[in-house]
Amino acid sequence: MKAEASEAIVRGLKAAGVDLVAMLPDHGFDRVQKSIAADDRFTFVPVSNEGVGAGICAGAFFGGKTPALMIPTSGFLVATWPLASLHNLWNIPLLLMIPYRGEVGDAQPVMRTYQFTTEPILRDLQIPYVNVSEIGKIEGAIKDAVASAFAWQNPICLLFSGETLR
Amino acid sequence: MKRYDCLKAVAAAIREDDLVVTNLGNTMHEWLSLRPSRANLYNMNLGQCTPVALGLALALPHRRVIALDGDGNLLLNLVSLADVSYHKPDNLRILVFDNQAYESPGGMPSATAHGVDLVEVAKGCGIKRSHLVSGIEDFKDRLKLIDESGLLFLTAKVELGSIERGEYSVIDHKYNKYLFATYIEETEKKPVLRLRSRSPFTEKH
Repeated sequence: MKAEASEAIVRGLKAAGVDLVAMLPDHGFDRVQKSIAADDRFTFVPVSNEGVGAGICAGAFFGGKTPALMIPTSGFLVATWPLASLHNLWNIPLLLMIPYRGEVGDAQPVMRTYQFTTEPILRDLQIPYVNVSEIGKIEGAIKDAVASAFAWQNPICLLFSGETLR
Repeated sequence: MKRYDCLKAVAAAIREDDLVVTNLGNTMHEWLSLRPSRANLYNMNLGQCTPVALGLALALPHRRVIALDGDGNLLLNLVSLADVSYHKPDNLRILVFDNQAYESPGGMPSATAHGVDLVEVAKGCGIKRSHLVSGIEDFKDRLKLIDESGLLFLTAKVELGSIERGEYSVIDHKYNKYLFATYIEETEKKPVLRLRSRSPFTEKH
């Protein structure tokens, strides 16, 4: 992920009031991870499993936090269990952020699967999502996603793609 | 040792404002009968009891959070103990009722019936105050550790069996959510649900 995109994500998280970020790192979020870890405005919660991260975010919501879960495209598959049986069942707000690997042009064999899993599973989980492919739209997309997540009491996902990743 | 007797002792030992997150199934039903409260989050599905309690503990470091977990629930996401240890919240207490089986769906033995030692796992993860409890008097004695500051992990070996369930004794998840969230809003004097009264699309600029 480009430095400008990482900076825009951190600005967007602050503007949206996000104050707890659970994360399992991905190559796309390496700069963001360091910025968040170094910033006192965030409770930074590294996890060993995306499913644990989703559970932590649910608990943090009940404690009055505005949580975000930043996970790899592959890890979204790991998080589907709590996203279904916790967030969907209880109607729990969450900002879910994924650097979207598996686009056409992301020419690496291991990424092929995510082209077929990511968006269909988001739809099945009733998680509205937005593809954010321009750096200039990152900040606004984060603010909109958090606003809708709480208004609808539902997770909202941002899939970072295009120039935000390249 | 019966889980119900342990839970009765827990209910007597904790404070009114302690936040409790429970396993689903029998633990939920027993806890509901012993300590009905808006400070309870019931019915966490497999692998989620301890992670949700961890998130709550990190969000409210001045409130005591108690997870009433089970062997089957914890085993599904055993790595959550590693993440608990990573953050080591002083206000989190994890009590695992280990009946060595998936009792609610029929009683198939869990891995703890075949040598898996949850206390050793917790210790291996770095949770120093990790203890195995095998009798009710020992359990009551160990419960005093709840009042001492610091992360605590207790595993209580319990028998199979539970109380009679009432036909309509389940609390709907969303109802539980609003009871708990509004309780936190009242006691912490801060918003939790944050339902917007106006869309940004229609706000005057």
